[in-house]
Amino acid sequence: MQIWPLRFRDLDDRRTVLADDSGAYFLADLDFVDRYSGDRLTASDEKFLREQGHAFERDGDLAHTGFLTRWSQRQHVSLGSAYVILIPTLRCDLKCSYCQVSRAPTAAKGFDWDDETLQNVLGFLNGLPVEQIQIEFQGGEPFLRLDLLEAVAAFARRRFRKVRFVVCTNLQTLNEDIRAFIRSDDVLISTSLDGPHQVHTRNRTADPLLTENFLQNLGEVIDLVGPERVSALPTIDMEQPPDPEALISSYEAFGLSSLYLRPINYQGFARKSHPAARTSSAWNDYYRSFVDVLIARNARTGRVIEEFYLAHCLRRILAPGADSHTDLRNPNIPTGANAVINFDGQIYPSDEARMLARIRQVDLAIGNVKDGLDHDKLALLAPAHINTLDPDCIHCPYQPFCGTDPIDDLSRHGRIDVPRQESWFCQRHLAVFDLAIDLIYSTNPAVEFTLSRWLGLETLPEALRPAAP
Amino acid sequence: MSSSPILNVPVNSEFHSFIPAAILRMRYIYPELEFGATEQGVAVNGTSEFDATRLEREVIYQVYREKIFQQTLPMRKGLYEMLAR
Repeated sequence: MQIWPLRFRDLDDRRTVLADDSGAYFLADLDFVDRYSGDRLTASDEKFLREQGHAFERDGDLAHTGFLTRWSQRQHVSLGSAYVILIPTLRCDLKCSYCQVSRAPTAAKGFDWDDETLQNVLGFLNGLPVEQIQIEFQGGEPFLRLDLLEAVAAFARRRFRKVRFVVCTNLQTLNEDIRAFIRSDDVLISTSLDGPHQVHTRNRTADPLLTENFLQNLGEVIDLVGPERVSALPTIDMEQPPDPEALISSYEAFGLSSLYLRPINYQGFARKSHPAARTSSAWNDYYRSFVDVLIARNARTGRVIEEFYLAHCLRRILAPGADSHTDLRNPNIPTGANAVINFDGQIYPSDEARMLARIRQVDLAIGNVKDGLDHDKLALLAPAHINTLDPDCIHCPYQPFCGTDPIDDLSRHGRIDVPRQESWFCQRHLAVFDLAIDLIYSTNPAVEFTLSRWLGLETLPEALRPAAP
Repeated sequence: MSSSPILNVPVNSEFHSFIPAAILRMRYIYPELEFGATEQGVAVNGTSEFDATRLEREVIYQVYREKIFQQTLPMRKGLYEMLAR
């Protein structure tokens, strides 16, 4: 019998989590690792490993082929569709303290696409080798240039077989033209709701009347298109984090059933006024306490609210192919089909890379819409966007579910080769995956209630909780 | 090592050939500590702020990981060769 390499990490003082390269995981007591590493596995250990697909007898037998299938599904991300972020304007009518990209004032000149840039953007989109696309409009406040959104939408609906638009808006302004635009079934709204009124005011609007205006508009948009086409996310200031119950209530009040907790992004200008964004332990502690509150609340009320990122990580653990979220996938190699086009026509591999250029730390532009992609730069960036053979990740049981974030590493450390365990990305994801595994194996009915609903299951099957004897 | 070790981690002799690689790796992960091979296993020197039990387990795990990594490298190479065909 041959055993596929197993990676391991202690989950706590009693349990070790192990996983093979295909992402098949199990829990064992601490002695298992000693037996496995010392070639002293018992007959029942071996039986367990065979039954769980971690071992095979001969190349080409069913167990071997099954592993190859699972493993190969973890080695690629389906490229059938594109996900492009467009920044038609950097101007914004708010001045949030942690704005990542230093928005420009509404009256500023030179921060919008001009006609030539718009035509070049459309030409760039036209050249993408896909038939499906999601176009996300960011800013600035994209609705300040509704005309540009309409031009892109009209073109994309003709060019692509399947298209979806997401407008990331502060919803401070809502007029008849905007209402008409968002009525289309292929338009989704994404906005920021940092919590109760006073928290949102402190973080974003600095004016209770503006917050009132936003909340009114959010309610109207949800009435107009339904909560399923509106998503909101809170940005958490770890210097003054909101009370979890109050935060969840502020979402439930609008009928929103999912929220995505996001820390203040370290890239860009936010780092100046929010030094706490540099440390991961406070974030990880808050995140865990938030999830505990959410799970208890779901069980208490019977209404299920989802924390998007944890649910997404759970889906990534349980099956390959959960690659829709561009911040967490592997490989995550920059291409034109997964890019950000800035207000000046520069193309970046991610929104975070755009921020680093904006603060003049490093120019990671991978081309521009006039001249096309810079393939030398794409090739240079590619290796850092794969975790599979990273000398740290190769020993980590969570590697098949995880990703990399070299842009964040570059932002914080000025380099991309810091030991993974020292990187914010790794510390955050070790904590999230530890939490996810802990929850999967929990026998607490409240945990099972939330997880099964998040995963669309009636109950959590025992098969999701393999444990070595 | 400049002073007496804060921790001596005994390692079974069957793993001794993997200790140099494990030490190289631990020096990179824990730059504030010093690691050295001894006849019995691994000696650790430096700050005593670390939890000794956890640190001992971490040293053992790094040795285990090097063994698993080296011994299963042909399997991993085989996977990628298969993918490249």
